Amino acid sequence: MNKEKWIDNIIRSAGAVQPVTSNPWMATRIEARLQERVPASRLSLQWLMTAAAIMIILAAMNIAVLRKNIAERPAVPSGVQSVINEYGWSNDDPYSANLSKQ
Amino acid sequence: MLQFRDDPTAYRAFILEHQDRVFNLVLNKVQQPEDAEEITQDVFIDVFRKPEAFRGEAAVSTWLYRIALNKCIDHLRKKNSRGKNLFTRLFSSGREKEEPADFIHPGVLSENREQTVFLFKALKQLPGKQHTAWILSELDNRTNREISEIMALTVPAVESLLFRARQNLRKILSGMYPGEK
Repeated sequence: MNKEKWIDNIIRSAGAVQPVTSNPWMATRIEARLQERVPASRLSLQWLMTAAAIMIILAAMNIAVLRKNIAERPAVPSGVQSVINEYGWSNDDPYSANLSKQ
Repeated sequence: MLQFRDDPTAYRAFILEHQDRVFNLVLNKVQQPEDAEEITQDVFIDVFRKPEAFRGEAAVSTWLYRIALNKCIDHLRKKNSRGKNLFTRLFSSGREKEEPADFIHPGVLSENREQTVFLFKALKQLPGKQHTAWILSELDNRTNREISEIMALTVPAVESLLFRARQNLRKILSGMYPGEK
């Protein structure tokens, strides 16, 4: 069979498509669906995943910023630390503590 | 004016009168009997919930066809976009990517089955409006005027759509010809 004839036969086969009878219980099913209460709209999985991804990205950005800040912080001791150093309180040996300042 | 809220018997009669035609149109468009039944039910639920949408400008059947076609378009769009979504792709099991099975129309005799499988496969590849116009004309035997009312187009626009649909269908089928493989 040549190509054109084959195509014609396929297109002509549309005539062989007969209408079908739909489900005889369709009206009952529709009525049953109408009696059901409309469920509260649930959050779709897609939106849930998007929200989760955004939260992960935000958390990662926060961690990155914090780490950067820690790395860039100058090695200057804090106020409390400088007092501890000045009085030698960080030393465990009570005899060598610089008590003369007190 | 359609009003079924106080008259369940009239509503049931309305469904029984139109359900076969709506179901057949939807089945030819979506090519999936279970989906077609669900969409047909949705059409009649919409009619019950929003009867005021029918303003009497066209025949009730034309209005029903419009609702049905819009629902088919939404359904096919959702179905097509399912595989393209990034999250679906990331979290899917991979089953969704499988090629759908050939559509065997339940109204076709066994001797014509093979040919209609090719026909429906080719129809699926037609652009949406051409697909709809062809189905309404060739499978639903609607006149160009009726198609123009259903699709909210002018008659010449329908004629042009049908001309292009026939041309494209031949082109698509030409690529499917088994003798060339």
